[in-house]
Amino acid sequence: MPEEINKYIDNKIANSLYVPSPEGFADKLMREIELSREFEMQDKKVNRSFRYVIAGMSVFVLSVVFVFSYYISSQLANEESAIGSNYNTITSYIKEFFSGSLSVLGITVSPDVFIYGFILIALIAAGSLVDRYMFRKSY
Amino acid sequence: MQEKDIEILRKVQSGDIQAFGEIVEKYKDRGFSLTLRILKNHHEAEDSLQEAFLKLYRSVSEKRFEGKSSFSTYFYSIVYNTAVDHYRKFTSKRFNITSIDVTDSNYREGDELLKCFDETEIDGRLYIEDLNLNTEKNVLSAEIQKIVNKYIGALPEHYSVILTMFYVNELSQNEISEILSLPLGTIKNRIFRAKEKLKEVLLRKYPTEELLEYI
Repeated sequence: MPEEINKYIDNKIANSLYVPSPEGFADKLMREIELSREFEMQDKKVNRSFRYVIAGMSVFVLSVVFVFSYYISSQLANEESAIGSNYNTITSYIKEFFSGSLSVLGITVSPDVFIYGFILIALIAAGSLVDRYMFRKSY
Repeated sequence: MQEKDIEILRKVQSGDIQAFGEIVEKYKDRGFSLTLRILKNHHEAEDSLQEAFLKLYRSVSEKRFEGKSSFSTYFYSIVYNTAVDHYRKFTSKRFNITSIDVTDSNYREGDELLKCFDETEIDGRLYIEDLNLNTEKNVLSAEIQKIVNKYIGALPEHYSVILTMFYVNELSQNEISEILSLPLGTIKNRIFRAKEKLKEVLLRKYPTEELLEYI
């Protein structure tokens, strides 16, 4: 089969398969893209503000909790109140439980380490939650 | 061509929305040809292509296109997948590009291509009056184009989609195989068979010498 006929047929097939898009398609599409871009920017603004509000509230709640616990613990140190003795009893149970468990394994650690450990874990958890839900865009 | 596209994409990534218009202008007709071949409805095809371009825009502006494959392969795979999703949504059917198993041993069998193509309906004389063409060459060319159009129109999707990707979207056989997740051999066989059958039809009507005279 001569090459000219092959090329001729290829050309005819390409012509037959080619269908131009409807008139005004590009303009309509570009308007759609501009609109979606505007909506996206507005959404981003709203999301950013929302994140800052949530972060602010979290910081406020954490600060209140810390200040309040500091206030309670200093009060308890000065006054031997009923609440204070309960608080001391609970913390001493926690300390004794963990130091007892570790001493079975032959490890001796200062009891205060557990309290600091709890605070540290709580801070890491809070930090990662704030990071996961408020500051990162997506995963 | 590829470098020009990459340059335009960089502009889009830096926030130049008008640069994306260049991509749209360049690819809209070829993208529409593919979408229409799958959906067979102008309105649906327009919606589907618009969605595909929106996906492309988001993907480019969010820098998700990493240039691992060529831009045209990336673009046409978005166009193809979006059209197939539309097809499923609007017809509640599965778009089946693999409905005929083609292997090396049976690639010469291709009679199903002719079953759906009734040659007796084609008579060049029927078109001549409408064409208002001056020269004999133009008349013959228009006649042949009509036959080809009819043949292409009668082709099942698993042939016509591949032919559109090859002839209109100018994708290589390897790229088509990548987009459709079909073996390269299948792609080659389908293009070959579709073209051979068309040649058969044309040469039955117009002898080689006659065709050569007018080409």
